[in-house]
Amino acid sequence: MSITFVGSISPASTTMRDGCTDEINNRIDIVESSGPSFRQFSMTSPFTQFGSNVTCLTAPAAVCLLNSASAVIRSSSVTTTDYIELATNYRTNASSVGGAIPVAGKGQQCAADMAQAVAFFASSTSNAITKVTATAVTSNTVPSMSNDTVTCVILKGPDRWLLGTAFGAIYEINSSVSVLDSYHTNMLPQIGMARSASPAACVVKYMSFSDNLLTVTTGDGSMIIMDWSTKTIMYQNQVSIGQNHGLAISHSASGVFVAGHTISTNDNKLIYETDGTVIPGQVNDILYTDNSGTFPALGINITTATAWAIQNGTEKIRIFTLAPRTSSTQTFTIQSPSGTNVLARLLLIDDTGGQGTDKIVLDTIMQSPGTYRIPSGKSLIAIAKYGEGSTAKWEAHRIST
Amino acid sequence: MINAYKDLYAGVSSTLRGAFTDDNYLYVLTSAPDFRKYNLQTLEQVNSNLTVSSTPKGIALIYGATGAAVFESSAVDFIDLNTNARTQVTTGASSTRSDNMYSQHIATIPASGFGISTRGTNGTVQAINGVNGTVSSLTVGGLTGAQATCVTVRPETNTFFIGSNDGKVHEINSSGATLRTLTLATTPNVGSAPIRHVVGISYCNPYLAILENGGAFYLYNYTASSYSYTGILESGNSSLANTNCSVFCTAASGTAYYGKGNTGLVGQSFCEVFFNANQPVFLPYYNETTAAMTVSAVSAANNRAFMATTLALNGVLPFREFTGGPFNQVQVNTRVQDSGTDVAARIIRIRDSGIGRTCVELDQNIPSLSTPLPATEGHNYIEIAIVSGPEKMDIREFQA
Repeated sequence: MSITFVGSISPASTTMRDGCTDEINNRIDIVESSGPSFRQFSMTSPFTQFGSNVTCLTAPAAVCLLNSASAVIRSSSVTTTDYIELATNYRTNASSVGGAIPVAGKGQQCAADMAQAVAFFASSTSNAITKVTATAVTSNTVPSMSNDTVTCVILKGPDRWLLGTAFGAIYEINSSVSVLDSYHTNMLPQIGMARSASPAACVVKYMSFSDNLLTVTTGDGSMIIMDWSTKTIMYQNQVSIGQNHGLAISHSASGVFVAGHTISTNDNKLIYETDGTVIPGQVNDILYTDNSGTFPALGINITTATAWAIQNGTEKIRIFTLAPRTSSTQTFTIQSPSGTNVLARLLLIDDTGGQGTDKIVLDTIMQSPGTYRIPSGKSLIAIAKYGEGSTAKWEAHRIST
Repeated sequence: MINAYKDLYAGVSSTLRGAFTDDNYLYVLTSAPDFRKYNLQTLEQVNSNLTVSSTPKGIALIYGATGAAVFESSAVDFIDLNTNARTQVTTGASSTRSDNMYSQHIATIPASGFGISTRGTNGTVQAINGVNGTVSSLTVGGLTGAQATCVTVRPETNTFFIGSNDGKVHEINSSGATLRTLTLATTPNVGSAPIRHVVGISYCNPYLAILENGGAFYLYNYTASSYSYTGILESGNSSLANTNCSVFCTAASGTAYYGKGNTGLVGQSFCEVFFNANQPVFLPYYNETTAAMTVSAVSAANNRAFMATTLALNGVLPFREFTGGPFNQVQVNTRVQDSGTDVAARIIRIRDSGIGRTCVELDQNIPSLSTPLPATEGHNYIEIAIVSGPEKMDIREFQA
């Protein structure tokens, strides 16, 4: 078992819209349509609320910490921005700029690089995102985008964000909104007639990034895990029906993310601890809920390995811990001839249990040198293929981690 | 891998309610209700529509050239597949479990003429004797207070796996004795145990693939009594009145197919899963249809797979036939030499369905001579040979 259930927060809220993790204070901060309010809860039982409900802008739809001292909120109906001072719950409201948040009730519509206090918000304005700093809010056009809308924003790393769009595009940008890399999702192979002209199938709903590998969930319920460095698809499956927002996922903690369905069906919903890097797509553990309520947003306090999931319907925040991650990163270098880095297929096989227990933990096209997360305490067989056709070469050796 | 498809229209007012194949024909039940027989290659109908009992739920070959059809009404129809004649049996018969899924309600062992189907009564399944054409209720000890939701055969022991609406998989024999029970986990939970329904089972010795209503996919090593993989699928509706969950089918050499049981807003995939290994390989094929999938079936002998949707909408097709596989198991020799001399070695055979779609299909030792090892026809493999003391490795690729 990896998941340990800690408890449920019952905010007596009508509808929670989004949440974010306050790592330093070990809190889950939420925005809710009732009030409307911004609220801070401890992630340690008995989950005491910090201060009182803070009345915030109408229809709050996206919240993140701008830095360790303040949170920022934007709305799905108005275009002002709220700044909340975390220590005092003091609110200020900045004047209207940019487009409203596209969707009410879906997480990952904003993300901040707290080190430089820059946040980006999805925007209903075509081809634009809203940039929020401690001193300014600006609407920025994303170069390369055309007749598209940003639907998902996550932080990839220092000064790097990933934007997902309504047409299935993914852009990597920096704080200057320069596009550094891009990709377009595809639902292939297809059978029969082309699907509906609606791009709803490919719309990027949620993303999670760790150690070169990007997990994307889409409007048709697909989950795609790709090697972002080479755009190699490593896992693709339709893990939900194409309704609402498919499968909601959190950001990664050492390659692990948590996930839950956003589809309104009458069965008790599950919360999945899922691996995005080691055996990508595999579920490590499941937390079983007793309610059919859906999950608009989930998150992890990476420092404490404590996760949260907002469950609508029952309007509870589920708090649970994840087992410490026993993995590390390793850089693989493949050169041919010596001194020349090459593109190669890399397969890692977990051979720890010996014959009959082997599993493929990674299978990708890597650009040497490539850094990937590998499990600790294992005996791995690493094989690499480079070159094409009859001149292709294979190499194999064992790695103890 | 799926490489071709054809579409079969059952008629505007009819949807598919069950299917099976033999070497030459596809046999289906429709909601009309009727029974139809199609040429497997051309999909041309070769019989006259045969009216059957009301509310069809499933059909299978029961014995010789006889099919058995089960219903959400208290009847079992025995159908002569050659003459298109029907014998309805109501004595001892009961309705299947009530739901909107039309897969795995009946499973049969044609060699002995025995089959069982789900039953809309707690604690029992329906026993079908195709030899003498009788039907009876069969009490299953492990099914107390619960209903069977799906059934499939364990071929090597001529027993049956039944899934239940209390989150269990029972292996039972033809007398209804429960030989073994697997209970899906309900912990960790948020304070009270959730309701779990097994909605699909597929088996390939020793692996049992299980779909459940909350959205989990389990791969269970039945010999080792351990889970080897857990994945995510759709979360369904499993109330008695409105059951819509993923539908599954019997495996052919470890390959089975499943589809989504709920209606989506955009195209739904028809997913091939190979699970005869420690980890499954998923190959989704995206359809234009948004309708729920209700029937799936696979024909190993003909490399055919089938998936039916609930209704025709905007040109969406009620029944799509895929050319899948191949599923045939073949033997591919391998030998290992060190400095020109045959040596004993460990062979790891990786099934390579593309990057990110690999699994270890075989891992065994061979003696110092050319040795036939199983593989699946037409599939690509990466084979690693490991010689011990000191350890040396070599690699080759081949297509079986």
